[in-house]
Amino acid sequence: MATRRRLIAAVTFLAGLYYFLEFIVPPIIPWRTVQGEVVKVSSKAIVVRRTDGQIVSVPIRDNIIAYRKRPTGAPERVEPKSLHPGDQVSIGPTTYLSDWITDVNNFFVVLGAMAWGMGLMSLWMVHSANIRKRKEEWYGSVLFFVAVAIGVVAGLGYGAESGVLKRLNDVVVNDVLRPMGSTVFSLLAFYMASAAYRSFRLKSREAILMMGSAFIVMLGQIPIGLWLTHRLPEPLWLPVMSQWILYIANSAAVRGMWFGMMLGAIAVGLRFWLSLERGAFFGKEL
Amino acid sequence: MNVLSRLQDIDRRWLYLALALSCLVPFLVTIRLPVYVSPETRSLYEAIDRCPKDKVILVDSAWDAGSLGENWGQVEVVFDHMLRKGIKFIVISLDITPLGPQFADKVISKLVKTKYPYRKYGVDWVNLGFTKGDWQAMQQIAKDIRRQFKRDSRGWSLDDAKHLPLMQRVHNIDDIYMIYSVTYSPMENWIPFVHGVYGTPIGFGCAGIQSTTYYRYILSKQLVGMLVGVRGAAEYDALLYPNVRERQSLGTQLIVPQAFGHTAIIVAVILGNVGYFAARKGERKVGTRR
Amino acid sequence: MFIRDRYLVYAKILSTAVSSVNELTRIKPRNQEAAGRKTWTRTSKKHLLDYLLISWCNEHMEHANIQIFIATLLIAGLILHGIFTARRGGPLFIRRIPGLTEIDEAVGRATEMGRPVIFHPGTAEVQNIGTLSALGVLGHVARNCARLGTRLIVTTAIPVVVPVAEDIVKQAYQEEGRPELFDPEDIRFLAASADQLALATANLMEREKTASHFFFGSYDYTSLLLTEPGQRTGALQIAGTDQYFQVPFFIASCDYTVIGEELYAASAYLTREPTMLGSLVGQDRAKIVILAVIVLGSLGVTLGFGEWVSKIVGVYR
Repeated sequence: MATRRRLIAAVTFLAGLYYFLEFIVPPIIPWRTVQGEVVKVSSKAIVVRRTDGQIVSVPIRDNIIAYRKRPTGAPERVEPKSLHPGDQVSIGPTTYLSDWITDVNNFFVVLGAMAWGMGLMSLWMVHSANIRKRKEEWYGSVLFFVAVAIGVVAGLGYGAESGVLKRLNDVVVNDVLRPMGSTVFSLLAFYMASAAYRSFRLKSREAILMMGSAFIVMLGQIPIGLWLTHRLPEPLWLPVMSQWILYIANSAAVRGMWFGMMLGAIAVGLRFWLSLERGAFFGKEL
Repeated sequence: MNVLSRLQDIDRRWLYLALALSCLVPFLVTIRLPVYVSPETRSLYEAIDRCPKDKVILVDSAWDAGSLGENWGQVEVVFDHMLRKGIKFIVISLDITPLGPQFADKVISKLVKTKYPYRKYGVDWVNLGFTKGDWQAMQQIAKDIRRQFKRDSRGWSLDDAKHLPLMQRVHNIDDIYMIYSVTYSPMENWIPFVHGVYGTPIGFGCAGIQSTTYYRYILSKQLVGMLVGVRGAAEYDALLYPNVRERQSLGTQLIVPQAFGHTAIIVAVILGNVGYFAARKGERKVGTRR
Repeated sequence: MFIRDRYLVYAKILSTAVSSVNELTRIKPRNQEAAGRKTWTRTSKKHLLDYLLISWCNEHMEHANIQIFIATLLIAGLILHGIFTARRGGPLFIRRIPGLTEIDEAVGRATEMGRPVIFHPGTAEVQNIGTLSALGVLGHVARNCARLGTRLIVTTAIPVVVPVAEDIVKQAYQEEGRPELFDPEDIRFLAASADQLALATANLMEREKTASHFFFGSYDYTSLLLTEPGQRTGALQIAGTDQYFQVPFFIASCDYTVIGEELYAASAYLTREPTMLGSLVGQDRAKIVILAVIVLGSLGVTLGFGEWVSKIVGVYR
């Protein structure tokens, strides 16, 4: 068990180390980077005037990458051969870390995709047990399997130009899934109404403040707000007050929350990476 | 318990009925209300209006039936604007839903059929379909759109000059004037990975509830503008068609039911609080409240 | 690890890094070619310094520039320092978080009523920080349920979460000595999309007559579709999310709500492990540093030295 935990910790650290290094380490080897303005581009070399005035010729090899500075000041990775004279460029041999990131990400996506079978297995287990044991509403599980079969067949018609499968796909997507999706989404409006009615009570000063700003913002979003206040000076129009709340007060609150959440995310990430996390999965120290 | 205190215990089904009726009435009786155009809608409108003739606008239309009520109107008014002014655009759908391209096609075909029959697919717009890849896909699109999309949603190669003449002059971010992302909750990665690197203006069209987190980007000028839910679509429609009778977008149609629905909820909350205070007063009179 | 050993390890890593850099930058450039141009081969320490200075304020989103590098090391250092300090011992104070304190009461309530408990770890992928934090809470809930003999049902729309949740719950039941109570069929992948899962979970709540509901993790618009039907069943509901937009819905329909980073602190709060508590302390110190930078920037813009501040901190679009 301890060996298993140590192995998990080691693999976790290596996986995280790649992403950490890929972010921290510059994409080009720093002491072999040439920065400056492109003077000439040929098929074999890029000639660069460095910031100190020296002219340097960088031979184009497979391991050479280039970053061109955009007008915004941010660098953009480009093929060395696509540089033009006058471009501000950083060019040099790659550290390879960034070159592998797509493949590494794809690896983890594939790894995650392997778990799709688990979801289907879980559904199969539950619904087949319902049918086998004739549990309450077992016919719902029969309908489930029928729906899966229809969905799989209909999915074959996705992207087809014509034919029975395309028509089936259109019926399932346009006439079944789409109205059902809209219906589920519209439930939110009713649920929000009942939740607001039940819970918005002026029990404290903070609740009064919250209610007041909620009313201003809600009325400011709709034409009725303008109609109610258009005779007042413009700063007192409900839409204008609503805009102030959204732009100033809300933005300040959102930024504060995001700072806290991002720091929390960094801390959680760091704990997972260094296997310092304790709790469900990581009960004991290594 | 007096009558007023019963107001805090109204059966939720009466609330649902009141909400349904208040949203239904505007569909039966035509009611037009004035719209106040917010700064974020106006700035998005002006940004799109300024699009140069030799550039295109990239529309990331990644929504489906779930958020149709809010996002349909947002793409409809922008497509209307671009088709009217002859601004060429490219539609993609990044990550969120594979049904995105189909819904975008529906909106465009409705507009072309009713208002702009002279606009042609491949010449005035192209739909490249669905793709995945988050910020990496965004970077690929910026560097070379053909690396991310080999064919459009109808199966034609992007180098097919006969069917897609528009794509022959669109290669990378230098040919794209602006990106307008419309979905329930647009991906914020457009901002650092495209706007931050290339300076391309970004606009969002999002659900009302999600908009609260994007206002800070407008303040810091990382977003050029934003359409917020149904309201944003109605405001944009008001800028496109100053005469209220000419406005036909879904946003304009839905803003009145939304207004009535909001009013119903506000009235319900007020009634609930009236009932709450009446009950408290009753308790004090009886002497049960400490 | 003893303090002395820890410092020795740090010193070794640092000295190895410094000597490597020295070694690699000692090589001198070759002679010039006849055309008068220097053939690019290797550069000297001077050019390394040039590179570092030029990459200052480099607005690269894909890689760290110097300010981000320093900030990363500083924040990570503060968090790690907090962790190692906490391990040395000594009490650490964390304010009461009502939502987390009531978890035990909610499980106890379900036990008394003889009804099961539902746990929903959010609608995001398993690698999402919110989901990972929720799984930490799941472990605590599972241990409580195992101790009290209460049935725990876990529902999810993410297939990868199923084996992870199964492992967590099974381990919890085994640790409490009640492995026979664990039923793998109670860890359910109900649907592939969040709204369908919400409706299926609502149906489950009514059918199984669950007494307590836990909603922890990252949620999208379907949060209210879960909590409002749950409210109707009369269950005690505790929710925690890092998604800013869903907090109002949870507050309106749940009995207790854990907001934002309190979710990330949940593991620390529930386990009271020194490592986790120390991490929280480190986070708070990092927050003070960020606050100081914000105050400095605000003062700078107000008093006229804002450009100087933005040159040091950098401008990131």
